[in-house]
Amino acid sequence: MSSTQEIIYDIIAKTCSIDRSQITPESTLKDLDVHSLDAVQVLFEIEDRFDVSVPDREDQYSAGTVRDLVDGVELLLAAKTTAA
Amino acid sequence: MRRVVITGMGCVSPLGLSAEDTWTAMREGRPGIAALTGLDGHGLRTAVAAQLKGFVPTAYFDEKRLVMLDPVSQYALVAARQAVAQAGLSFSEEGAERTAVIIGTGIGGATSQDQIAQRLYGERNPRVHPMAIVRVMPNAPASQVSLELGLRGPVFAVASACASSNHAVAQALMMLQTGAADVALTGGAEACITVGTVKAWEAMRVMADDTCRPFSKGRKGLVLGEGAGVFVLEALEHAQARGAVILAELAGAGMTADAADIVMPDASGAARAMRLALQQAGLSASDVHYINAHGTGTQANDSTETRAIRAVFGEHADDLAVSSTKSMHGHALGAGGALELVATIGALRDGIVPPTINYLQADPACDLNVVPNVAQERRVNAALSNSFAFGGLNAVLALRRWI
Repeated sequence: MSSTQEIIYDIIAKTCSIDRSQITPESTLKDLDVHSLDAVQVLFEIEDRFDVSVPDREDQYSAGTVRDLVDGVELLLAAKTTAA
Repeated sequence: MRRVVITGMGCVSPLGLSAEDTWTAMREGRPGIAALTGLDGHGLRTAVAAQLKGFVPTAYFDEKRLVMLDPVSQYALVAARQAVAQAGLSFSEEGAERTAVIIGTGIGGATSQDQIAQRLYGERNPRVHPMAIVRVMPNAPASQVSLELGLRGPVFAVASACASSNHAVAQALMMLQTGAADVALTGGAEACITVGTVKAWEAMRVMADDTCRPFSKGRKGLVLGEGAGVFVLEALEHAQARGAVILAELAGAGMTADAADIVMPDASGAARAMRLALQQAGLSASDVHYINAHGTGTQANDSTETRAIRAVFGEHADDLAVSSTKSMHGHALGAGGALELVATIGALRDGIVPPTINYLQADPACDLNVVPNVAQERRVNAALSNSFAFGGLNAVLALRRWI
């Protein structure tokens, strides 16, 4: 597990008060029974931790998986490194 | 209980700087949403907003007075002046003591609050302007109206986020019904397009990046607006005794709370508020021809509001015209219901239902006649105006056409 993934799993577990072991790469936030307001807070915590801006995505909540989220953040981090 | 009528309206909105101009723009379906201006350099994601156009404070207030006035109070004062002028009211000593001023606001002096934070934390300047408190306080719009017009009855602010205007009007209605006052200036004001407020709304991820498309497939969320609407309410006998021109009857109000979720709307709470408003107004569902919807343009609100309307109106729901004028003037938060009351009164008076603009195509979850893109001519005998707020708060006004 990459450190990005580790951190994101931690953020989801802590923000949404769910057991970390429930989280799989295939889970959507909806699968994990995460309230959409908690999902917004997850994105905020991720942005704050990694200093990136996660763009709005219409189906982020219902269709986006945890893997999509991790991949998306890694792309943002890579873009940041390139820009720097 | 005494009957209550509306005899004056004033408004400054993204659609115009008077109630008349605002209503004309609404019935013509003109957009008030445009590229966000004036907040450069803060990395805002927000590209669009419904901002006032051409509002020059010094055209209304001298410099000395402006020191006291956050934009939220400026807007309320300009709207109040218009409303009193239209009503043709002058206040005697006794009349002033029998006049209430109840103005809703979701936030209060947001611009001044931002300026304080900018000085203290941004510029590390330890000195705050001595009038900061009187500019920021949420009762400033109500108090400034009271001061300028010499009104000495019950004066206060009402805060219930996006339902503030409707709760304020409902409170004023009750005071006139019960005889606590004879006249009330009521409505709402908001000046929320500041860096701090826009950032906070962005963080919730409920803002559209294109425009506001209530009830439409492809809607992406709300667009912030600003402005104020102030109305003169009078006990019917008071208005008739002085021969006032009556614009509409404010026949009832319904207020409920969901006690379910701080942000997600709840159809049953909204439906109960509509039923209570009808009940107090003595209206049956089939009397109603138009609903000015809360219609924020978010996924959750518009489908939930559709379900609530269907629950209340049954088969008659398909005969209703239901439009969201937020598609034109944006979501002015605590002033929202007041801007929308201009639309509702206009529909009752002119027999023209303002449209829901920016409509792309039907969403099966919002399957009412939402008056897509173009106004509809129809006689409106009675109408509701819905406002639902974060915090799970619902306030619905019921109005009847005055022949």
